[in-house]
Amino acid sequence: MRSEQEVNRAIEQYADTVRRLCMIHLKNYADTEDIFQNVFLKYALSETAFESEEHERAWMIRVTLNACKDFLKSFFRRHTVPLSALTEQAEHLPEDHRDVLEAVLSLPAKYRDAVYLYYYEEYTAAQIGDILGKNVNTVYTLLARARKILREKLGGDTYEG
Amino acid sequence: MKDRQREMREIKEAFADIHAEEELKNATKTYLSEKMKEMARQEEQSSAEDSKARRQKGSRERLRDSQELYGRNKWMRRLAPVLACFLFLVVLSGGSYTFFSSAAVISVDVNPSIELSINRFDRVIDVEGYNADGEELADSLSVRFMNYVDAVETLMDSDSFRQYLTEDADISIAVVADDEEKGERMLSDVKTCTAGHNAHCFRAEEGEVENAHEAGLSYGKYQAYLELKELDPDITTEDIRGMTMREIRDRIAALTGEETATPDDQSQNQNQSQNRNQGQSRNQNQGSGHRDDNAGHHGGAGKHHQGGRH
Repeated sequence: MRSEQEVNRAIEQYADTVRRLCMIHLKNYADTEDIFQNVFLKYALSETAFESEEHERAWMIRVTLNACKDFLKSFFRRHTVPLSALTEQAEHLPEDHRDVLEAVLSLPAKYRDAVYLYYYEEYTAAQIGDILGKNVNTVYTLLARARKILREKLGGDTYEG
Repeated sequence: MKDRQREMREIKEAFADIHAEEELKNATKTYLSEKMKEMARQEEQSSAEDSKARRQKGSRERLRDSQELYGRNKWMRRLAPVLACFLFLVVLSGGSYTFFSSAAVISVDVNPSIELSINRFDRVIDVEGYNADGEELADSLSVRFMNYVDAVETLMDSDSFRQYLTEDADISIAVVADDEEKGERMLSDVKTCTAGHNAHCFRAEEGEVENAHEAGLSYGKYQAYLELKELDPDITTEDIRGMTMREIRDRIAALTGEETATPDDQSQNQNQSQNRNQGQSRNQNQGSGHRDDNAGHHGGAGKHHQGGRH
């Protein structure tokens, strides 16, 4: 088990990353809270020795994605829709880039991870492939399609200027 | 290219705007510090007692295991219901196979020949008629899944069976069982419940009568056929099928009477008829199979002489 200081440091360091991943997968705040608890508890209990910060970050991303997936997969999740989910999401998006984020969120689930990892975390396609357990070429395809959809969604004015 | 860069920047900025709320971070920290304290406490407690220690360590490992199970052992989780279904089917089919395989047969022949198949739980699983009368009788009876004793009693009391029980009708009941003990038990049960009738109960060995169904006869009738065949080699199963048990018995009696009457009057035949007249039960190793007569008043050999050879 890791010490409390260690865990707190990890929370400070990776909370944003985890939050963003939650944002692109989950629809409400309560679920995000659950994921946070799961992910960092897992971190606290894990015996993994990280070689580098990069390694740790990749581990965090991987664990968060798994947690989100398991969460969405759970029986209860699949068969109920919380009422808050219908309204809450939009409120949590910051005003400035709402259109972009909404476009990203409207992508099919399998594109969202790739888009986030590529655009924000600036991983290469090969690294994304490692993290997501996909072939490099699959990642390229995912990215290309996601880009196409985004362009259609966001229309000419954002990108043609 | 410019587009691309701009696009990247836009998206990156959009994501960069997302931050974990302080509230969220603090909630998580609080949760974790409590959780970790709780775990540490558990560990402390556990180190006090050795046996407890193992359990507590187990609980921690179990937590990890369950998380691993949750994430990794996907196949196991997917296969579990399939395996469960499979197991259920195996148990079900095994059970129904056991239930529906016959362990013994009771063959009842008067004129109608019917056979009751009995499973190992002493239940009737099938009723089959072996001639026209028998089929009719089998259809009219509803003794499936009854205990065989009840079934035989129901049969004896049924109107459709009673009509064959004329004065001189001869009921032959053959019990065929794989298991010696079961056969004896069934035989005595059947004897008890047919005591009031002119019934003739015996056990037949399965090996001896296995050809019966091939010949289209019930076990009981086939047994009688074998007996008659020893005396009259010309007889065929075709002939037998058309005869009532009374006729067959008479025929046997006639033939034995014919052959034994002349040389020696104290031969086995006379014993037989005497025994029958006295209504005693006695084993006779005559023909094939054990023969056990029960309360039968078989007319003497000489009386029914009309059969003769054809």
